[in-house]
Amino acid sequence: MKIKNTYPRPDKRSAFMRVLRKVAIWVFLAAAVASVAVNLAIGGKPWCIVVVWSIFTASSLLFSPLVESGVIAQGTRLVLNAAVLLTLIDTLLAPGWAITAVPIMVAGSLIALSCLLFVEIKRHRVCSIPLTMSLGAAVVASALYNILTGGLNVPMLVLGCVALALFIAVCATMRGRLFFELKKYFHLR
Amino acid sequence: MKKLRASDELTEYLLGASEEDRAVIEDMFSSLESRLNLASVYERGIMRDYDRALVYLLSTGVSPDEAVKRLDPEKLGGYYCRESKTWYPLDSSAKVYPLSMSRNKMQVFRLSAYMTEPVVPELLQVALNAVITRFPCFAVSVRRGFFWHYLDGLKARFEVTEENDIPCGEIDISSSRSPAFRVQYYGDRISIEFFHILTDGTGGMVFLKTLVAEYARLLGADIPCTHGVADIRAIPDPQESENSFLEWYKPGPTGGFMGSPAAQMGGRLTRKRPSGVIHFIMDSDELRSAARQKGVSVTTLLTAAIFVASRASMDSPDGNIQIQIPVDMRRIHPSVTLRNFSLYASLKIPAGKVNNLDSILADVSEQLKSGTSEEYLNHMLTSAVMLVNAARPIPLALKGWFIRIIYGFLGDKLFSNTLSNLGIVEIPDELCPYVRMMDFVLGTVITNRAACSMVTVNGKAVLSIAKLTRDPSFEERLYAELTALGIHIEAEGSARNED
Repeated sequence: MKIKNTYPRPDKRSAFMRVLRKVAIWVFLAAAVASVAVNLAIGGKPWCIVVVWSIFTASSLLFSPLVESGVIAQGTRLVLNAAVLLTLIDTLLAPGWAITAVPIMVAGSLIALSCLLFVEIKRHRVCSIPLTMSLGAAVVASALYNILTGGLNVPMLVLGCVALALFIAVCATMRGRLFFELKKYFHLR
Repeated sequence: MKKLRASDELTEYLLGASEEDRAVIEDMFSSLESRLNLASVYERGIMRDYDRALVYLLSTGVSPDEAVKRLDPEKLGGYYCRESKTWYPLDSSAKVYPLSMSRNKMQVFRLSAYMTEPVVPELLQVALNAVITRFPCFAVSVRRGFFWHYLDGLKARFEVTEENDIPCGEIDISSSRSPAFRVQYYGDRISIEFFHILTDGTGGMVFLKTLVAEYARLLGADIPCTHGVADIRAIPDPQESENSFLEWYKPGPTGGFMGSPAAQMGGRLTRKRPSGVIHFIMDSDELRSAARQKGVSVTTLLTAAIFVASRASMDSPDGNIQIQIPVDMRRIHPSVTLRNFSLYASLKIPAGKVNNLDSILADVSEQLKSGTSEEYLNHMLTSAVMLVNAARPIPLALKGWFIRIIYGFLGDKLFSNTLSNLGIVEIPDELCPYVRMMDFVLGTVITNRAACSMVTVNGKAVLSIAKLTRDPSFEERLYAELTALGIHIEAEGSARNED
C-alpha cells in the first residue's frame, strides 16, 4: 500500500512546557505526599496543610485551565488562593498578623485587577464575573467580620470600602451588561 | 478610506486607474468601513482582507466593476456593526466535551473540500468574513459558567491560516476571544476543524458547503443556494441553534450508554494526537457494487471490514471488538439544527469469532439494523437528557472532576473503533467543476488506536483513518480487505508523526 503524502510536515515545536508539566506533576505529588507523611510521623503543628495548599496554588498557575484562562480570571484565582494560604499560615503556624496582611494584599490585588478590567473594558467585560463576585465577596466578608467581632478592624474596613467602591464602579460601567453576564454565568439549561 | 492604509499594490493600481474605476473602488471601501464597528485590530484586518482580495482579482484581469460586484460588502449586512448579544447553552451531547478534554486530548473533527485548482487564500478569507455572518452559532467562544460551560457570541475576524500540523490537533480556546473552529488551506484543500462542542458532521458540512460555494462565487461562479448551501444574505433561522435533544425528549424507557470495556487494537499510543491520517479514495459505484454483491449496505460492508482489520491488529483473541457507529438523529426527527444531534449504535462481536468478512456480515447487518432503530435511539436520547438533567444543579468545579474520572474509565474504552459515515453529500451541479472531492476526519481520543470516517461526494467515496499508533496493521489489513472485493483504492495521507 503506497500512501501519497498530501499533508505538510508538522512544525517542530518546543517540548519544554510539555516536559515541564510532566515533571512538575510528579514533583508536586511527591512533595505533597511526603509532607503529609513526614508531618504525621513527627507530629506537631499541621504544617503539611500549608505545604499542600502552596503546591495547589503553584500548580494552578502551571496547569492553567483550558477554558477562560485570561489574565483577569487567572489573577482572581491567584488572589483567592493566596488569601487562603496566608490565612492557613496564620491559623495553623504563626497567628496574629494575617488579619492585617491579608486584607491589604487582597485590596491591592483587587485594585490592580480592576484597573486591568477598566483599561480594556470592552475586551475584558465578558470575563468580569469572577472578579465582580470576588469584589462582592470581599464587601460581605469585611462587613461580616466587623459585625461579628464587634470591633472596628481598620484593614478589613479598608478592604470593604475599596471593594465596595470597585464593585460600584464595575456595576456602573457595565450596567445592564452585568445582569446579562450573570444570567449566562449561572444558567442551568 | 479612513481606516485602511491601502496596500502598495492597490495604491499603484489606483494611481493608474480611471476616475470611474477609482470611484467604484473607493465606494466599495466606504461601504465596507460603514459596516465595521469592532476592535481596531479586527477592523484593520477585514479592510486588509478586502484590499488583498481586490488586488488579487485585478491582477487576474477581472475588471474593477466585476471585482467589486463579487466582493460586495453588502453581503456582510450589519453583522460587524452590532455588538454581540447572543449566547448558547451547550446542547445535551456537547456538555461532556469541555469537561472531558485535557491538554492534547480534545474532540475535534475536520471536514475538507479538495478544489480543482490551488486555493487562493485572499479569496478564502473574504469568503469566511461573509459566511460567518450567516452562522452566528459558530462565531462563538467557549466560556465557563458556574454550572455549565456555554458558548458566547464573538464578533471578530476569524483568520484563515495555512496548515502546518497534523489534522485535528487541539484548538486553543483558553482566551475569551478564541474561536472554537479554524479554517485552513493547503494546496488545493480547504479544511474546517471544529471542536465537537459546536456541531456534528452534518452541521459542519452545511458550513463547509456554504464557505466553498461563496469561495467559488468569488472566483466568478454562479452557485445557487441549493443542496445544503445556505444563503448568506438570509436571516439565520433560530432553529439552527436549538438543542434538539430537548426538543425531542420524551420521558420513557432509557438505555444505550452502559457497556463493558472493549478489546483495544495493538500498537503503542503516540504522544501526538493523532499521529497520522490516511485517506482511502474509492469510486463510490465500485463500493456500492461490492456491497450489493454481498447483499448488504455500504456501511455494513465497511463496518465488517473494520471488524476484520481491528482483529488483525490484535494479538489476543480475548474480549469483544466493539465498533461505534454515530447516527444522525435528523433522519429520525425532523430538525434543522446545526448543533450536535447525533447518537450512536454500538456493534459487538467477540474477537475470537472475527475470522473473515463473510463470516460476520450477517451479524453486523443485524446489529446495525437493531442499533439504529428509532426505538433504541429514542431510549438513548432519553438517557442522555436525563443524565444531563440529573447533573444540572452540581457546580461545574465538582462536575468536572467526576466526568473526567468517568470518561477516563468509560469514554472511548467502551469501543475498539468508530466508523462515522456522512453518506452521500449532494452539492449544486454548478459547484461540481470546482470541487474534486471531500473528506471527513475524526480526531482520536484516549485509547482507540484508530477512528474511521467516510463521506461521498461527486462519485468519490473517501474513507479516512485517524491513527493514534505507528502500528500499520489496521490500515494495511483494511486496504487488503477492500481491494480483495475489487475496489480500487488510492491512498493519501500524512507522514507518520514522531512520538
